[in-house]
Amino acid sequence: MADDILLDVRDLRVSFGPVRAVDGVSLAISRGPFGIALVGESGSGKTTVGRAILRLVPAAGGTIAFDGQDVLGLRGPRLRAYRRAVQIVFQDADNSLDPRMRIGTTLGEVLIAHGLAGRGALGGRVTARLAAQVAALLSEAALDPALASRYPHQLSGGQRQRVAIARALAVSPRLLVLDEPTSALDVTAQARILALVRRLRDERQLAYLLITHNLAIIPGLCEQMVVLYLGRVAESGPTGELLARPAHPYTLALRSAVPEVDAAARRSRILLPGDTPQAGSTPPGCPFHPRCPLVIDVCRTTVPPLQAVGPGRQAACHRAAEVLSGLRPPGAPAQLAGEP
Amino acid sequence: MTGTGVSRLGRFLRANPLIATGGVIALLIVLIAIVAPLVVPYPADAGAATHPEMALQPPSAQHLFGTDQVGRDLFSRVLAGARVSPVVALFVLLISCVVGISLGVLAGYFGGITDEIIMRITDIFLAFPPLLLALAFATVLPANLTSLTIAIAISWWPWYTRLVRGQAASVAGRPYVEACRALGIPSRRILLRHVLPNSVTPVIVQVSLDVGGVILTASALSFLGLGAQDPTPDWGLMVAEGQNYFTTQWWLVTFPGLAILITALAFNLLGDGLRDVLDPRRVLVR
Amino acid sequence: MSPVKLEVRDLRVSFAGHPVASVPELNVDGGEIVGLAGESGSGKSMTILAVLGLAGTAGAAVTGSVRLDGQELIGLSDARLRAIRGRRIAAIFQSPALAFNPVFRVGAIVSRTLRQHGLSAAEAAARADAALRSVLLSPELLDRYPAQLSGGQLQRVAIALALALRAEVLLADEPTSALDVTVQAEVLELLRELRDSRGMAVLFVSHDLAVIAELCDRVAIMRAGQVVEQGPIGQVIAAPRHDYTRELLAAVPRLGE
Repeated sequence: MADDILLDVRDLRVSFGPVRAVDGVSLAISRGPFGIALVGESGSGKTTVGRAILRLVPAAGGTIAFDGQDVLGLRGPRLRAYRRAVQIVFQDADNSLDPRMRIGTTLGEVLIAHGLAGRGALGGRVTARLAAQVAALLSEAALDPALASRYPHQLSGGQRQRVAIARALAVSPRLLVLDEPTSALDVTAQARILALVRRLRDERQLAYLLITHNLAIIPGLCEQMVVLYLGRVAESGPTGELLARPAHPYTLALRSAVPEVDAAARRSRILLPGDTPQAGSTPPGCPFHPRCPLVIDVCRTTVPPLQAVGPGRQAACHRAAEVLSGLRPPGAPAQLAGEP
Repeated sequence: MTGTGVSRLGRFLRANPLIATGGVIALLIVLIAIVAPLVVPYPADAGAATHPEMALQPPSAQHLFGTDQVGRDLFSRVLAGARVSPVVALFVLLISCVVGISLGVLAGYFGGITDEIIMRITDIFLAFPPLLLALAFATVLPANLTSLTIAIAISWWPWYTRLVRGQAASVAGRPYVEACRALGIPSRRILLRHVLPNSVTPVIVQVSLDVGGVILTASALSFLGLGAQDPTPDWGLMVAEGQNYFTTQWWLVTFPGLAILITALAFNLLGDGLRDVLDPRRVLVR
Repeated sequence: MSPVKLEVRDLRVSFAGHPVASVPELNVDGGEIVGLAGESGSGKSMTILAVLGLAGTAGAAVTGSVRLDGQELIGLSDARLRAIRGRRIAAIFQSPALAFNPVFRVGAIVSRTLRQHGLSAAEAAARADAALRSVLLSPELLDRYPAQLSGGQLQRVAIALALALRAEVLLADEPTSALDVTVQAEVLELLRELRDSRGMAVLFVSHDLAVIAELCDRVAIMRAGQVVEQGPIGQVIAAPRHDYTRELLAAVPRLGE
């Protein structure tokens, strides 16, 4: 339903000089509570999509609409208003906080900039109200309010990332973009952050776009999933379905490459030749064809269009229907261990 | 200062010997500059008085540093000189910092056409050898200390602009600055509260290194007659004037030279220590 | 020839009196991959450096014993350690780009290392060629500069170098953490092959328990510089004895639901 859509990205294109980092990506984010994952490896353009949504990089083509309103043409106070509604948490927790500012000041700065701290705090004075707001934000992110007087280097990586989340929440956004929020963290810190996101989703009716290369964190957090390869959508659809019955060879390979702790859950590896390509070196035809274990002649010449392969599911592959019904690369067993 | 304040300072200085040494000496120099006219044994000698009959006396009890070629007490002149060369250096560096930091931050953060315009102007100034540039300006201005200060400042500011611009550009690209933009924080605030504080550390170190350099440049210009004029007790001028007597009356050059050396060293140490202290990642002794 | 044996006993690494890593007992034999698992600050990387004899350059004090086929490595002179490093014990690290001097072509770096260990120019070229092929890279990559190769390719060149030197032990410190998951899968497969076909002894350090579970035969779990549990991988995962191990296992996200 069109009414349900909070952020509508259509045919987004982003270039850095001659390099086309994002080449026609579309995705739809529903109103909260809702989670959608943007999955890909290096060169996929997933981080660039997130930045384009935040208006941190200019778009070369396509449209982005938030609540039905165009986003790409916003400027001035309307852009500022958009930046209250849509926020981002960056991957690099170590460097996304100013090392010279105390945590409380960093959080307070956001509140003051958006006029949320009351008139007394104009000019940077720390009022009781501002202090209370900062304390509330820290508590919500499961942090001790006393950390407000510390500097970033005095906190652990996981704590820094939670401060970054608290900062993003300060403006009460309706959509949160999480760009690889846990890649730089230890596994226990990662678990805490993911639990925090789940809790925030329920408490704040949050919608979020989770950008990640780690398939394992997606189930339980995101109901929809979009797989990117070299700036294009390879396939998209409900998470559970996509992972259980992929319709694209890349998704198959990606899923099979995820290491599993439980021996029973392991799959036979589909090894892709070569390395993930760098954006800008797009081959003719399907961007995945040089590494695809199921490549046929048409793949080398014709770009596969993104087509429906099931209810709510799309895939850009000439052999999508076959993959969906169980076609597997030669050498891989007909049924991968763990498949229903 | 309260009792606890003093003891904290004491602990701080013990833990940071560089700052302590540099700071103490620099403080001493400032103190001397302030009280010089009151404590020097021969105040008139710091000015226009001459005593030809006592010329070129070696260091003695009455004249700790000896006398110069017109009989003036060198000790008084060296101490009084603390009000000349260091003050010139202070103003030169102040002007360079203000101009350099402002332009550098703007060029580094905004990039694009702003950066181009600012840096091309800076490049034009940088293309000239600094001494030559200062010389050129000094010749068209009346020969006094003010002109000297302006002339040297004109040749000094471009280095600071380039220094700050590099740092500011690097800071502007850092994730926390990008995060501020994403959070909708206005540019003015980002510049003042994030880019500026994180861009000035190289300037602090550079300033401390430049104190000696400015004093020497000033002395070169004074030697050529373009800056401080006799009888002003400028250290550089004293060194220049005493050159001819170097092999026989060594004190004429040595004592003012030492004064320059110690001043430059003190600020150098201070600068090094300050740079370490200003890094919030450093664990401070509390 | 009997398989190589690396034996670590009572290894203690400390900085200015503060212990950062303490390993009472660890064995890595030829033909097996032993994992060293832990989060940041657990001391696992320091352990690797200590085994290589490089902890001293980082300013650490090392006591204890590390024996390679019976020969004690701790306390060995720099000259003798250099002969062993690379030649018998090779190491690959998380950031392969750091291991290659960016101003030299990859081939030049590889051949120079080989010749440093006594090979003639012709032998070095032949071995480099063969080694690259065995890691599924085209030897023409040797003509490129490190910046022209991807992370995965550089990591494979680093492994190829270890192969060319005929190293018997490979120490790997988070070699795949910075790689894409599909590339990681290939490198892990490569390591398995080194174990199986060449009988290498591999010590694999990682914070990723899932990778360790898939790759390693035995594992030692480290936390805050101490080894809290160790044993065969199946056993540690199915029946962890230490609370921390349980905590780690619980925190690992699972895809296979």
